[in-house]
Amino acid sequence: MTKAINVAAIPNSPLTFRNKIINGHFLWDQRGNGTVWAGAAANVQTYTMDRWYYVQTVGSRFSLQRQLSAGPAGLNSWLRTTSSAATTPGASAIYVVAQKIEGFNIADLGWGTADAKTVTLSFWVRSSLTGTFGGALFNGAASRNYVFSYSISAANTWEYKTVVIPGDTTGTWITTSGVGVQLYFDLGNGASSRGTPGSWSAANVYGPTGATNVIGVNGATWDLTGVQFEIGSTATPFEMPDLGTQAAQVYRYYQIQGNTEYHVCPAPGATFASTYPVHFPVVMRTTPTLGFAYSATNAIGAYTSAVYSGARGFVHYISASVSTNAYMSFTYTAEAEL
Amino acid sequence: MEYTDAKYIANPFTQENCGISVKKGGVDVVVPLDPDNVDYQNIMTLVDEGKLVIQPAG
Repeated sequence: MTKAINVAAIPNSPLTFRNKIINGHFLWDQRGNGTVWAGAAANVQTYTMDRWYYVQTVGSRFSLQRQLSAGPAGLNSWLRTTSSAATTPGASAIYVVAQKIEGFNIADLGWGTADAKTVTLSFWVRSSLTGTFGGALFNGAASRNYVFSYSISAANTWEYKTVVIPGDTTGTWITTSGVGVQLYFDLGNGASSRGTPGSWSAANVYGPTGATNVIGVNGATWDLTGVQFEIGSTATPFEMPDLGTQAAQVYRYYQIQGNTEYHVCPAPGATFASTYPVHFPVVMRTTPTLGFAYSATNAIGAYTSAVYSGARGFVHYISASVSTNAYMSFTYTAEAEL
Repeated sequence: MEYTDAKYIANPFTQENCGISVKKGGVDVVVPLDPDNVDYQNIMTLVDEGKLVIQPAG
């Protein structure tokens, strides 16, 4: 028995892995596990929930926190941002929540070529304020810029937004392990950090002219979830990968080994150096920055945190043990963010 | 991000530099000598600008 394939039924954009945004539902918060992020220093890119960071030209103007409660469209995790003061931004100031998408993940957009594909950004948003809001896209070098806007018509009510963005046929768009696309949400930028929405340019602006300043009202809130960035001119339902896939996605950029590793020396003696290999559960984007927390040591000599390291793991080193039962225990963090 | 107290780490087997021990925002971390690592990029920018000196290993 044979049956003809209905070619028209095969979509020209992927059915899976559509969403270029990782952790668009803000479930993963390895660094904070629900803590309030409030202390970002001025002009420092500070990572919070996995893959997401914020920047404030003047520090501590707004806070962020993952929320685990019923949100829109069946999503049970979301981001809450809260203004910490009534702030009037300086002309060039920026107050943004953002995510950088790795170049490998946007290679199929064809941006920077004549075949550049249209994309659609969709998300659920809620604010105590109403009016026009927005954000911007950049390439990795921040030499290409697209400002978008959206409106919130009812206060304290989840609203679904879609923004169709034509592909950029010019500029340089990294398609390897560097920064492919930068996505910014504007929470209150200065006048010269905003521009006219709806077209690609070489500007360096992060939101639309005249947008509502969330940071302008002390205690104002702005909530976000279900962020999706996909090929095509139609927003599809938020893609929810299985939990294992989500873990692999976020571990590529950041991971915590909270369970203690025990580096046990095999033999005592000043001439016996000891190495202990640690393999990451997921190959990271690049060789990560490592942070160590040592919880116990016993009868060891000098040690070196990481004598070999790469995207797949690292080797811990103890120069010598001085008696039997020599060991040290530690946990670590590994960060390979963009 | 603020980087202070930078010092090279030497591989005890080869004696070659294999990383940078540094305080990042006041927290001790080990930064690899990897041009794709953002911390390494930031540190090298500070070094080029004369704002940070990496002490030799040892």
